[in-house]
Amino acid sequence: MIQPGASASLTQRPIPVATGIGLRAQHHQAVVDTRPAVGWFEAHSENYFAAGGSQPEFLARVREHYPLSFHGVGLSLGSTDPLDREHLAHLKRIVDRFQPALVSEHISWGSIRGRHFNDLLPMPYTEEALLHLARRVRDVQDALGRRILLENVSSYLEFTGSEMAEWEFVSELAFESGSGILLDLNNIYVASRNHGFDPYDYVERIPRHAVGEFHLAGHSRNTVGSREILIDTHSTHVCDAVWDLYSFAVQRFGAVPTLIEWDTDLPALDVLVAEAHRADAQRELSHARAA
Amino acid sequence: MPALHELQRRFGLALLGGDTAAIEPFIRPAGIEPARRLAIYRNNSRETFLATLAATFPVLKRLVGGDYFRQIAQEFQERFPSGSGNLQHLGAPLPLYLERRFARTQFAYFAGVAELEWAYQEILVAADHAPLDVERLAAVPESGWAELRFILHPAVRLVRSDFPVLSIWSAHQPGVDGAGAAAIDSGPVELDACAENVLLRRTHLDVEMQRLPRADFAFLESLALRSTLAAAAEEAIAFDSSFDLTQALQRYVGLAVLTDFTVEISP
Repeated sequence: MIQPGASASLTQRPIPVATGIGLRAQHHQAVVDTRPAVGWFEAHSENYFAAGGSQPEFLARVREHYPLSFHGVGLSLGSTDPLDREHLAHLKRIVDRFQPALVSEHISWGSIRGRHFNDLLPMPYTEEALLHLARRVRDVQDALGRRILLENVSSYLEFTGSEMAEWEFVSELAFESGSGILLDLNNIYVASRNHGFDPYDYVERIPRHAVGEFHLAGHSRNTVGSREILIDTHSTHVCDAVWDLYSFAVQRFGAVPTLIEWDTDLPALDVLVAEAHRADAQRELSHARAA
Repeated sequence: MPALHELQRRFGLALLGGDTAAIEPFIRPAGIEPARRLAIYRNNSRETFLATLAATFPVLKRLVGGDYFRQIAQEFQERFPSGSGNLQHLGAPLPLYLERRFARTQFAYFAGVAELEWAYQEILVAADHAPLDVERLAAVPESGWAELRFILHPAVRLVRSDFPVLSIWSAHQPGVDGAGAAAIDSGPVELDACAENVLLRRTHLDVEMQRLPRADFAFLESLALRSTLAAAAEEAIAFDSSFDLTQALQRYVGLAVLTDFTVEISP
């Protein structure tokens, strides 16, 4: 049992070069028991909002041995609803307690008029949306007293009124809000296939200094009518095309903290650890190539 | 294209009710009709809702079967859409919804089972609390006992049902087969015959549930409503004249059901 106040002595542990994996409740016991050889863990912030019980206790035990990152999915940053102050207060409480090395959220919205879809819905890439998001991100960073990272999401549609490309919106947002970029290479690949752009061009146009984390994940292929559409499911291995894009990104951005995400059809912990080791091997190879 | 707020409002309507006409003109078709693109998001939102509900109410799902559970989840989502970016709250209104949906039918017990499962879920995430300070209690002079008001542990729930909800719950745990389920199939008359009063409490990493005698349940229920010890004891004795207050106090302090108290200084 963690004693109240004991966590106050935690100091932030930076994310190491070694790849991390997503922390899921089904793996809690195995992680604590076996302490797998991965660099760090990323937890979905909302999963640890509980006031007490086993979830925060497991997280405290994981935190004793690994650096942590908090990855939010529910703040609905891009929504025009008022910012959910209660949600933000919960986030601040766990950030203060667990002192994660990284805190991130998504470039998306998830609610309107108080109704939540619990999904990462697409933003129109307009000046209005950019300024709205930038204001909200600054608000969140002020409340947390730290910089956050913002992740590009997968998308299955584009708005007619978008005024700029996604890479431009993502880059401008980071600049305007003073946040960093969590570059999800699977999401770039999925969006590039769904909307017909060059994923390498996207990666090349993201400012070199802004990227604070990479995400790698698997997606599924679906057919709608006669067209193929990729869906970001986090349900399988990283595909070869995304591994290639990762190599390219490592050559451009260097050894940025990398995370393997796997949420649905969750396999045994070993499978995730093996995927993380593959990312480590891939990164070293890319570095050698770049040198 | 409309301003961001209006765009999101129309997008939201398309996801909730399936009426995509107002948002469609602002989505690029690019080989796939906008309605079908929106359907991907609508489906994602439904599947997340369904999966969350299924994880929170596994026994209800086993009782009604996967297909019917999906249907209930969809109807429930239309009536009670998620109100938070934190999925933990999503199932709160389900017992109420089921109570109304299945009132006066042979499935009235669904609501009771859902209430038990929701209490279980609440307990998993409730705050921690230190055990009761027994020395502090011992220091209260005898004259003050009747006026003590106890506080229950945040991770304790009391569920009273006209149906044998804990028996149903136990019979539908993974790995339990046949016998229990058969008893439920035997119909509402037998179900009516055995109401159950259940105490749920969190142990170290798990939740324990037990049936309580009617008097004990009334005692704790009364304390939970912040009645005085004397008033709570009276409630219990109304059900069982042999109710032993000292024993009950020892038991529920020992189980960390009662974790704190206040004393009122009466003039």
